[in-house]
Amino acid sequence: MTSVAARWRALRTGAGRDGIGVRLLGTFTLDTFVPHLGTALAELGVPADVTVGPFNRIVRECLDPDSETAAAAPDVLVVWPRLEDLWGGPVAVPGTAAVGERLLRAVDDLADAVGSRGGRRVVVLPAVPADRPLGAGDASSPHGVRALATAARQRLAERLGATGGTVLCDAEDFVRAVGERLTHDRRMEQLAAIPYTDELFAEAGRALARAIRLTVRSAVKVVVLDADGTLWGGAVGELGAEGVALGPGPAASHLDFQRFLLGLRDSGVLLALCSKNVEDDVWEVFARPDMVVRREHLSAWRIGWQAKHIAVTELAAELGIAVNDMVLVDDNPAELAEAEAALPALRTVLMPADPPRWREAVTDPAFDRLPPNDDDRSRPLRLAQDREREQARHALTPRDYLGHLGIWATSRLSSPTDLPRLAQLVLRTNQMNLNGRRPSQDELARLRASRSHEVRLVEAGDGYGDYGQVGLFVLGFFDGTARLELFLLSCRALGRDVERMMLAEAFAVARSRDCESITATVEELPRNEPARLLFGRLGCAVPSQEATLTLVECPSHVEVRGG
Amino acid sequence: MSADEPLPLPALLADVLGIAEERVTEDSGRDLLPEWTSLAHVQVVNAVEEAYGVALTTLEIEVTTSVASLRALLTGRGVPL
Repeated sequence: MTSVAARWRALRTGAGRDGIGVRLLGTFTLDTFVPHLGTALAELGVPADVTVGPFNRIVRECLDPDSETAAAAPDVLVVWPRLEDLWGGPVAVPGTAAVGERLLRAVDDLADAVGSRGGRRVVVLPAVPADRPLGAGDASSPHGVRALATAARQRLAERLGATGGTVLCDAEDFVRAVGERLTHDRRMEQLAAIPYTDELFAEAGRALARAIRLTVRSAVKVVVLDADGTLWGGAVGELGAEGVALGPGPAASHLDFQRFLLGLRDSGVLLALCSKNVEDDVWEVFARPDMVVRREHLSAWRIGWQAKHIAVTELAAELGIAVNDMVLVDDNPAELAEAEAALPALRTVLMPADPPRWREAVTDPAFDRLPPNDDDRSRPLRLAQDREREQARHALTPRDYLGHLGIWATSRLSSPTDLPRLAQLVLRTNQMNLNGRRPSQDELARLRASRSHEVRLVEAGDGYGDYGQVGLFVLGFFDGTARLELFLLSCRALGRDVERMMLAEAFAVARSRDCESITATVEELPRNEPARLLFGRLGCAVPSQEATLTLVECPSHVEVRGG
Repeated sequence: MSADEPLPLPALLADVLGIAEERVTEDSGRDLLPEWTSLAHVQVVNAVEEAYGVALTTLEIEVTTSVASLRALLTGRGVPL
């Protein structure tokens, strides 16, 4: 047996310093939690350097630009408050609304401070305190511990759940997993301000690692499904299409799994099939009226006798999606092992042999994803449009192709309702990104309200379909000079000259503010080569040096529509 | 020793504190080992409790700060060391 502390030490000394920086801020001592979180992150394939900020200084650490946390500049900030600590002392015997109001004020202060900070954040929704002065009578009181805690948790979720860049992680889930009796350590709370047991910290480490991964890694975009034993019971090659099992009985669970898959598809996850079978046999099963997943729900398939890792690689190429954004679901451990060995970045999930246990398989971290937005939901439609574009691209010269697409774009002043999308673009855009600045939603709101700034949102599309809200730029105006402070365009719209339209719009905006030129500073970031190339051609030859941009005209093949 | 058997006390402490087992003697404690910090003590207590299936009281955690005192406490609880 090796302690979690020893495993964490070994990881820290062996893995080098190429991990993400994770900073913990709590209202209690979190130092002994670090090994649990660090090892859990490593097991998820997210090596990290985990540090702890000053004890019980969440608000100051978030707000003070000179704080230790600001200096640490972590990639992900994790905030774990405890309601007992926000209460400001022992849980009071309830009976007045004043206690609840004080708690909500503390929650608001915390939400304001955390929300004001840019970058990626994970906030733990604090657990309902175990101490109940009214004992069995607590649940009957509108000012009881459970009632007050529920209100505080709801307030925190409402305040931060809607803030771009914040992922919430519920401590009630940790408590439920280990049980209330194994949650608290009154001795360590008294001696070292560590209120939780190692068991609770271990569970919290696994849950928080999954939440942190959501902030730094994209969720799966494609589920690649085996057929026999996964979508239905039995082998179609042996039993025939009518012989494979879809219920009644335990095999009906395959249909429940298929309904789950359609739910995934509705939220924007593509479904693909990878089966070692005769193709006609497989389509015969899909034609059965009791099948829930239909052939038309599949975005791509490989049916034949090739190795699964080859099939998955081909599917990735066909769909234009990286292998590490795919998960392979199969009931055969040998097939999964073969695919994992050849494609280490591929996520795999074993479908249990007992059909009703499929729900356990889909609790795998591979299926973690943030709530889908309209952009996510439209992925299957966009894929179909991309395929039509691709056909046209092969039939035309590059110049004719761009003209043929009928590209249009709008640039308009952003409104308050655009803020979540603006924050999402700021966090997700890496390639066409001028400087890697990632202001929080609150900071974006301040820029939007500032008279010396214009925050503009760009929407684009073509004759095949809309690309959506794909870009933004921010201009700051100081002493007759315009400065480009943010410039972001989703990779979905790259290669269509939308970025040049955006710059032409930026010059038009600058002129309307009596500024004849625009300055910009391009930064060298790991993945922003497209931005460096673009701005390099426009005068920003040296990264990190401010330069005046060459005037840009909107390309003739991009129609500028009114914003 | 099977994988499920707990480590001997010196090996367990060396593992938690991240030091060579040779440095863990009966006299070793928070006074003599700089690695045995107050936070490491929390980890020591958690590891001892998990490994030997015992629960220390708050006072015991506070005063049991050396190998000898830990051994005495565990022996007194009937843990074969």
